Amino acid sequence: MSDQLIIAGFHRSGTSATSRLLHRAGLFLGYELLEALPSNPYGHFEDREIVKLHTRILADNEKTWAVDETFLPIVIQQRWQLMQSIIDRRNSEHRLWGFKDPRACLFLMLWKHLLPNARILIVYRHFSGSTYSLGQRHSSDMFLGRGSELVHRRFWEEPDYALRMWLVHNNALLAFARAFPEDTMTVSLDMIRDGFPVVWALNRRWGLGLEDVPVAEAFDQSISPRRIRRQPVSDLGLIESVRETWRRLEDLAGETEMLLGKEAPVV
Amino acid sequence: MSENDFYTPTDLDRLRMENELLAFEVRFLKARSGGPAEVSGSPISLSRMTHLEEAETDLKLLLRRIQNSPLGPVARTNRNFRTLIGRYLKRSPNVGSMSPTQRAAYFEGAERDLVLLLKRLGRGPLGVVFRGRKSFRTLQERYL
Repeated sequence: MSDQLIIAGFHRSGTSATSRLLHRAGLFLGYELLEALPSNPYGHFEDREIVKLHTRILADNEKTWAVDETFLPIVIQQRWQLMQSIIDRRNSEHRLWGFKDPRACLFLMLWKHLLPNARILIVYRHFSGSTYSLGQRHSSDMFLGRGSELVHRRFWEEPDYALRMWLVHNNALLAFARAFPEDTMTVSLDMIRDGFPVVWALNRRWGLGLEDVPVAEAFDQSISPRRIRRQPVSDLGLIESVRETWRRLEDLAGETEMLLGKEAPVV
Repeated sequence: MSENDFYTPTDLDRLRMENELLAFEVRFLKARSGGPAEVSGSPISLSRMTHLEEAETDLKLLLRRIQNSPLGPVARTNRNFRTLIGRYLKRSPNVGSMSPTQRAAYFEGAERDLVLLLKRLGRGPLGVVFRGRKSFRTLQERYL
């Protein structure tokens, strides 16, 4: 009998740093992890097989990784079979396994259907931090001629593109958390940065048996600076939705802190 | 279908996005010309220098706000406060004419002064009033 822990969060929200921490704590995250890039110098901790699967499901639905509108994915039989084979192999070889991929935000319900006992760690970051970081990554890639210029340029041709992406992904996470509150734990990047004992909290809540690694040991503060900037926005209609989503994420993180805060070890 | 389903980017939106891209390009070029992690001629990394410059701007804004608030006359009776006003508002140095090392030292000093000021304001008798303001809490979160 295996346990599964999925790490889900929008792009540039600290999911890689969190996965690095959990990887060091003994969580199996995949057979072939994506290599490090300048935008993620310690690596993405994303399993190629899972990323490929998610990319294919997105392509089946005429989408890329940059989803900026709500959609209900259609999954063909072949993809269900691939998901099941991914699960079977890991279940047979690992007592505890998981994966991390920002695209997973959009597919959590699918995984939960096949893995009814899976637990989800939601990691979120303030919208201004995530969108600024996305802009920085895609401007650098564009100036260096890495990847498709069309993809990079879109961030400066469509107003609020990154902000809409942040909204869609985080709303998908919130919908999942509402449906499965017992199997979801939410933390913000700021909490982890401030030393919230995330590994201890996961063990405490779900008895995962991870090795308790101090956050400071695996978390490089300089990689994702805390600075909150004023968010540029063109469509004023988005502001209220973004505020509401942020407030609900903060409420969930507050619940995590309240649930575990009193007993948390001093770090 | 309601009118809210449509949205037309204005020239202002396009200008804003172009401006953002240019700002990223400047940062990118600065970082590249100064090597992967250092500002040209300075021992401080580009991201650290950006942080220090922001600290200096925040310090000036904070000083101006206090000076122009009802607390201004009270604050000006404090010698340390007058020193900061003199150093950053009245005799603000021409940063552009400084060498990279001098510039780094000046901005580091500004950051230190800001940290001290925030600590004192937060602790003093008016600490409760300051901490009640969101902008003050943001500065505390950023620098303390």
